[in-house]
Amino acid sequence: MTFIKKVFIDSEALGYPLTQKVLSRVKNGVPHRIIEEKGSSSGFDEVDMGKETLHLISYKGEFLKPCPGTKEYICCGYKILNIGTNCPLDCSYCILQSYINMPNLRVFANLEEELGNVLDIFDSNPESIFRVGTGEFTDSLALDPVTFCSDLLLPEFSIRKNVILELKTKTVNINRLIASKIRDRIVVSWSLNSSFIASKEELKAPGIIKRLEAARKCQSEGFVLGFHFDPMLMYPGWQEDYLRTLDLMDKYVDPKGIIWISLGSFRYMPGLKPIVRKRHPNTTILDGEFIQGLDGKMRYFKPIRIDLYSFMKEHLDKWYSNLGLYLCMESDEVWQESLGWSPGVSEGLKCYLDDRTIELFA
Amino acid sequence: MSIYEITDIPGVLVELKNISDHPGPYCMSFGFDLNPLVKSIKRSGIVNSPVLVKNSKGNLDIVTGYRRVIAVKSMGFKQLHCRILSESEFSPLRCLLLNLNDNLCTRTFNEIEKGMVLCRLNNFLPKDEIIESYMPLLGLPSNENTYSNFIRIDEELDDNMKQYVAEGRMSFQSAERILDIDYGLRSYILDLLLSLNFNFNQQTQLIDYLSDIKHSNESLLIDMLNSADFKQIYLNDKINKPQKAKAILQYFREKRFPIMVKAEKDFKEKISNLHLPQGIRINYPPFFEGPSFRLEISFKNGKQLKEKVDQLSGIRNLEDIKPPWKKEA
Repeated sequence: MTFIKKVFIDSEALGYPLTQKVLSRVKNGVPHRIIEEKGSSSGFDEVDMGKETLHLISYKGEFLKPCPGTKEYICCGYKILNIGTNCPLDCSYCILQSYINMPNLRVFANLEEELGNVLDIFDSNPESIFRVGTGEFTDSLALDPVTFCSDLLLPEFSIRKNVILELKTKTVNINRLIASKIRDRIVVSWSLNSSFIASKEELKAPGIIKRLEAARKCQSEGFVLGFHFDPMLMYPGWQEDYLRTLDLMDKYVDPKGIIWISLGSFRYMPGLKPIVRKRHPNTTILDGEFIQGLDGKMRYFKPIRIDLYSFMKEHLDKWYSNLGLYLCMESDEVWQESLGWSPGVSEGLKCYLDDRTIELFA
Repeated sequence: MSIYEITDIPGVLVELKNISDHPGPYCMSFGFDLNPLVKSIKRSGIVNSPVLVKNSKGNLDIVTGYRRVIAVKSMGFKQLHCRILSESEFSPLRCLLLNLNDNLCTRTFNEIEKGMVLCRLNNFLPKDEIIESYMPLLGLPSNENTYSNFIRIDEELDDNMKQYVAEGRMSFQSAERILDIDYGLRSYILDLLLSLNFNFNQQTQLIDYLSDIKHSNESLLIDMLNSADFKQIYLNDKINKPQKAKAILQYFREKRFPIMVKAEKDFKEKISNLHLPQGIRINYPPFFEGPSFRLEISFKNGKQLKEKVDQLSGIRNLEDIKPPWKKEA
């Protein structure tokens, strides 16, 4: 974790065992500072966003939250387990850039103490299937080498038959997963893109081949895999480039061990645009034809989205026909036009993915 | 502090040539009309003496009364009674807050002046404190983005453009956006906006289109601005300014959103070819994003409604209405 240049610890987080463990793992010589005042921004640089500062806090909010979908588009009913916010990777499209009031790589030091409440929710709803992920507000594995969160989560999730845990990442930090003996009800997922986008817009993230090598390793060690092409971006030559990524997938992983592949096109709240322009002046992600969607977010004009998804569907189908392909936050019409079917409503998509869960973890 | 601390300071006659015409480090006046003040001084004289302070170089900076000093100078006076603060007792921050408080209770700051206030405070106070405690005083939300935007406007916009914002000829949003465009091109666009009287919404839209095109391909934007098509609109004597503004906006919209504009045109053409009866319109949802088209029928009474519905149902090819990108079944 050479990118960690300093550590802040909220005074309230000092007493948690996770804090002490993390501090013991951070390289010697990295300066530590205890923050007494709540809400202090600790003098961070808004361009840097505190991406080199590890910040241990005692999180007061809900640890388990529904994915913030909107009624206008079909949502998969995913649940987010909050383990921290922000991420050391610096993707130009990242929505977290707009949360400038929450700088630094925030780790929730009270996760261990609060996890029981989350597990109670699963246990008190045995008929429901919970698809849970930690990769919404941070990368699931980017900080795992210092937090060892996977050590904490894997045993608790794998013994519950109505839950799966998805660890979504762009990193290759899989050592702790591999070292663990636990495989059941754990999905390791990679965000993928074209190599062009990965190299140009996913700054500091490993390249596509590295990610797929890590995926292959996990698959060979018995993990179920997931993949997410989100955000897909349209640019001159996008088809050849995405096709190359699909070819690489074919080379590195066995499609039978994939629980799902999601497709989503780039979307953003209007307020993100000036931030992206400022933080990533050479980016091309804003060049496309974006319109304001029904949820207020900017998204590609509909036929462009349909083109993106149809193309991927056509080629993924050629690879393997049972990949659990789905669209993230799209309309019934776009589903129909690009995938040839639609779950109709959010509940339909939830059922589809729950069924995939049952199929892969029966 | 005694409330008489400043009024107890006796006025002294100051040579006006020793006071700079510039607002200096403490004053926050920009884009004001001096005439009402000049008239008032002519009628009633100076009621409150300006307050000055000696700076580290020994020159006099205005703490309060900048407009009064400028007005009196413009009236040809050479001297003015002023109060001079002791620099040892009045720190620069104190002088700044004195001016701020003096202004806050007597007038509203324009957007440029708000930027000046924040920028000056920024020299003395931590950002968090300014955002938390001072932005609400200026009627601004305690928001980091807003703070950054105002600072940027103050630091990066030239005085000409600031003047347009202060006069209300250009919106603050447009000013913010135009900063994304290089300086040379910026003044060209400004001339365009102001010469054709674009309204605030149109200004923002046009700057957004141009800024996006510029980020995507700067030389393409230059080519567009130099193109015969563009000049044909801009120099067309047969249309008035609002028509020109609209046509220019549409020209750049087509360049920025070619797929969407084509879809709109195709749809409108298809609807036009249906030859709908008078008073019947079919519209697409905004950006074609929603799931449904919209049918509008205007009618005077039920009989007419029935007639129109009958006419409508008899139109051939009505069932062919679909999103323009959708292939034939």
